[in-house]
Amino acid sequence: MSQLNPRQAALNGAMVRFRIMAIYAGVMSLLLWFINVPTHYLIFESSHHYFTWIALVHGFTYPIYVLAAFHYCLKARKSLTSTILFILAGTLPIASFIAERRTVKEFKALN
Amino acid sequence: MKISKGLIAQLVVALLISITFIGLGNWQLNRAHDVKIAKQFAPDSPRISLEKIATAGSNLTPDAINRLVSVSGKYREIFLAPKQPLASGNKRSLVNLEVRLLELPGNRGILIVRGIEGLDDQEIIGDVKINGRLYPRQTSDSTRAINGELSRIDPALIVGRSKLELFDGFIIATSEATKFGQEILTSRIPAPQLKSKVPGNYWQHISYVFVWWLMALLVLLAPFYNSMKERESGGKVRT
Repeated sequence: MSQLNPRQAALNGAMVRFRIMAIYAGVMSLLLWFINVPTHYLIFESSHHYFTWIALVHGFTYPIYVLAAFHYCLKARKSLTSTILFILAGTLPIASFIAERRTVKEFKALN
Repeated sequence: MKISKGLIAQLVVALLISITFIGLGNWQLNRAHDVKIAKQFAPDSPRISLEKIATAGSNLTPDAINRLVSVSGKYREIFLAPKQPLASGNKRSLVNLEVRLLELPGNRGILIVRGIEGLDDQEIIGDVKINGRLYPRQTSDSTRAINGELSRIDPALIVGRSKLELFDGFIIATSEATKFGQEILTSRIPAPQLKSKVPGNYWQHISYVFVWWLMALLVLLAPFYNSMKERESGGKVRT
């Protein structure tokens, strides 16, 4: 494992937490948008009761993503606009995966 | 401490947005409450007069929905509600329902679903006492309606053609009797307790309450974001 410079070391914890929550929120968003919502309003509506837990779990865990994103952005000294975009990324499928990749890239660039 | 005009403006904007988010959280809290009430399976309360739980011209309250009610008045108009879904056991079928507008004292009215459409309209003159269950208005059309038909059972559809002040929702009649107590027979339909149509469930709405209130808190922090960054980095901020 490569050595972290002081800047990376200061950011590491917040970044790891954000990455975990970004991947998690991305998976939950995919489930929400492509399973929960369609079965509620469009197709296989009789099976929707199997998937009600998705919206519930996503709803309760999204605040954790928001806090992780806020903390990471604060630590990484991001602008307010970037912070808002990072927070909103948790609501759209794929967007949080993109945000997660971006943090890794930025983290490596601190070398 | 010197407070600039810019910071005050930011604070005001943040406060307004924050109040909006708190309002959205409260809205979700109300929805959670509505869902809880609507999903509760309660044994039927004793029959109650419609006028004690609902008011003409006002939306039905969640507590009024599903109640067994009684109401008296005179039938004024007859409508047909075609292709209405009817559940019988596991089978679902589409039937044409006979709906009548009942006039209540005080120039008020409510829609009554009498039952399945007959071959010819029964003539019912004079006061009628109706027992039945109160339902919320239907919100989606069952069919395209032509003259004298209702595409859905919704008092809003007849507001223009009636001078009566209408109650929200409708009643499915389980029995009708004349003022002399003589029962009026027709092909009735079942009037079961309605399951909740409010989307989501209680805890889902509560989770959204937390999300909105958290957002409100973060928006309040926004004007101080740069100084927080400064403190975090222990020096001048790079933006």
